[in-house]
Amino acid sequence: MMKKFLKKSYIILPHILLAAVLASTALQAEFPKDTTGFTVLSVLLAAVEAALIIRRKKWSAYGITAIVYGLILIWSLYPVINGRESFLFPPPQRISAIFVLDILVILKSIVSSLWLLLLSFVIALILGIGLGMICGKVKRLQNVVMPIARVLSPVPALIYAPYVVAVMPNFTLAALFIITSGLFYPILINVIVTLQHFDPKLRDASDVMGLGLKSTIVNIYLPYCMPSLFNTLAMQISNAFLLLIGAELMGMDSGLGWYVKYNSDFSDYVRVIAGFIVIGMIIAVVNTGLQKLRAKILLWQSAEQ
Amino acid sequence: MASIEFKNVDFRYNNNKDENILHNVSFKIKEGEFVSIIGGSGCGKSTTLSLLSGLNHASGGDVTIDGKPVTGPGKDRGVVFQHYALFPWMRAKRNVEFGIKQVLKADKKTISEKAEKYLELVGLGGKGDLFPHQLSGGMQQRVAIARLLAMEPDILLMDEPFGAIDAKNRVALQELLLELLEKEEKKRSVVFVTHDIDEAILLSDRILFMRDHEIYRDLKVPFERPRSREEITVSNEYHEFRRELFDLFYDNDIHQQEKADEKQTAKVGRFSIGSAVGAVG
Ligand SMILES: Nc1ncnc2c1ncn2[C@@H]1O[C@H](COP(=O)(O)OP(=O)(O)OP(=O)(O)O)[C@@H](O)[C@H]1O
Ligand SMILES: [Mg+2]
Repeated sequence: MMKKFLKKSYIILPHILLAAVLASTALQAEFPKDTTGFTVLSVLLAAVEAALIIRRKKWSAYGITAIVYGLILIWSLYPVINGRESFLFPPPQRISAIFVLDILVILKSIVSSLWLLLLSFVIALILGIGLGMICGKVKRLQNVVMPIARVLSPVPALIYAPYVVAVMPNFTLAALFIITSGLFYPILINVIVTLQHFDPKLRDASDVMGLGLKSTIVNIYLPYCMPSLFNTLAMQISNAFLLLIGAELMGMDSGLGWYVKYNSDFSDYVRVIAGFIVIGMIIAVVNTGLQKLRAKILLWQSAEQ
Repeated sequence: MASIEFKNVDFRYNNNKDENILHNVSFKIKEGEFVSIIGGSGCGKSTTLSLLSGLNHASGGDVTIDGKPVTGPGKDRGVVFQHYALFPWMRAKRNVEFGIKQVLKADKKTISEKAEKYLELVGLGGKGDLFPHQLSGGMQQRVAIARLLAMEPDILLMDEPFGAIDAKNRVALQELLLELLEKEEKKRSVVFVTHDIDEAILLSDRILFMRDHEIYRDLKVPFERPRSREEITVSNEYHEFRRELFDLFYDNDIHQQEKADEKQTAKVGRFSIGSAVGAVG
């Protein structure tokens, strides 16, 4: 009886909180003058609600949604408790309004940042995997490359950023160089170390087949390195964003890092927080995409690995 | 096309130069001959195969195939390892296809059909889409055997290939191997390591018994080909030959025990001398 009641309340809780959020923000909206913020927030909340309905079979979905709604509720009630709107901590409907007001700038920033990130990842992956694989096959080269990589890789790429900016013809190339070099070493070292511990049974099996260099790399080394490469990539995603934002702060005129920096120079904290939220969501989307890709490519791994 | 010769071969691992893993091993295998190697655990059977496959190199003496020294792996030889050695990222059928592609330039369909055929022969028809981790140990070994057979090498090097396989499939695979080798025109040589005496008799022309890192006996199997399990097992000769091999294993056990005892007494002896010296000092 009691258990059933608790279960019911757990499932209903997010919906009650949602109603409270809507009520709180609706009462605060300045009808009819400015309803944009309220409308956008409602659309965003509807998206969260839709996500909950899609995952309604999952027990944890209700808890997560309830926490999200709860936080938004406290946030939206802050001006009421405080007596007036806070300058540093603007209410959610103001920030939501930015997603419409600044939609073009934000989209442009997203495209610019993601493009830079994608390009750096592709270059770092090609160079890191390529050199790593060759080092795996040519031990002498490895003995030269590895000590250098071990010294250079712990140096944060942002440290030499000012110098790179001075040397490179434009900011975009400088940013590209910084992000790429920050990603390159972890990937290279990961590939080399993984291949150093190459399973001797598989080594024998591929050796007796007499595979050539290209076939060994493509059919044996590359798939062998995939699991640990995905781990490295997952870890490097946040590092990459750090480098991206850092690089953009140095003087680029587009991108999410630039957007946050530019607006904080004007103390426009509504836009700064909107920028935070966009960056958070982009990271979440990129991570989810990576997880999906991983599940697809690593189908061959047994479940417990 | 594929005669093998070991001439006074010694082998030591680089990390342990003191221990002779193979000592003065000499034997010849004629083209088309099926030779089994038997002997106690650790006597050097797998090592002998690794010298033939080219994965290891003799520390002394010569290993030759058709008179040419073995310098490394080659497409004339195919190996089934004692451990499963499938590529875990390839589905069962892809593993077989990948092997075929190394030796045969043909279109996708031909290769696919060939892989399918050999998987069926080893009793794994319909399992081709599974990844190795979804197969049992015995099934993985059968895929490895299918890969070897599909590659059609001149020399087959098989290290306890049926060791992990259940009795029913084991008999089927022995029969399959006999049939494949006997019906073919091309004469393939086989070097086959096994712990199973009956398997060795059924399949081989000769049996090499290894002991203490050496070839201790080289026995000719007294049955003509083609042979069948039913025919040979009812003969007196079969049981006499089998008894001879059992005796070898039995003697070997006693021999190993004596060696172990000797080592023990040697140790104890040293200790007592040491303590005697200490007492005098
Ligand atoms: N990588 C290695 N380094 C050093 N010694 C090794 C190595 N591999 C094997 N040995 C030694 O070589 C000897 C022969 O090994 P081998 O694998 O040839 O034995 P085997 O006859 O195949 O035995 P089993 O029947 O158990 O498979 C063993 O004494 C083992 O300790
Ligand atoms: Mg062995």
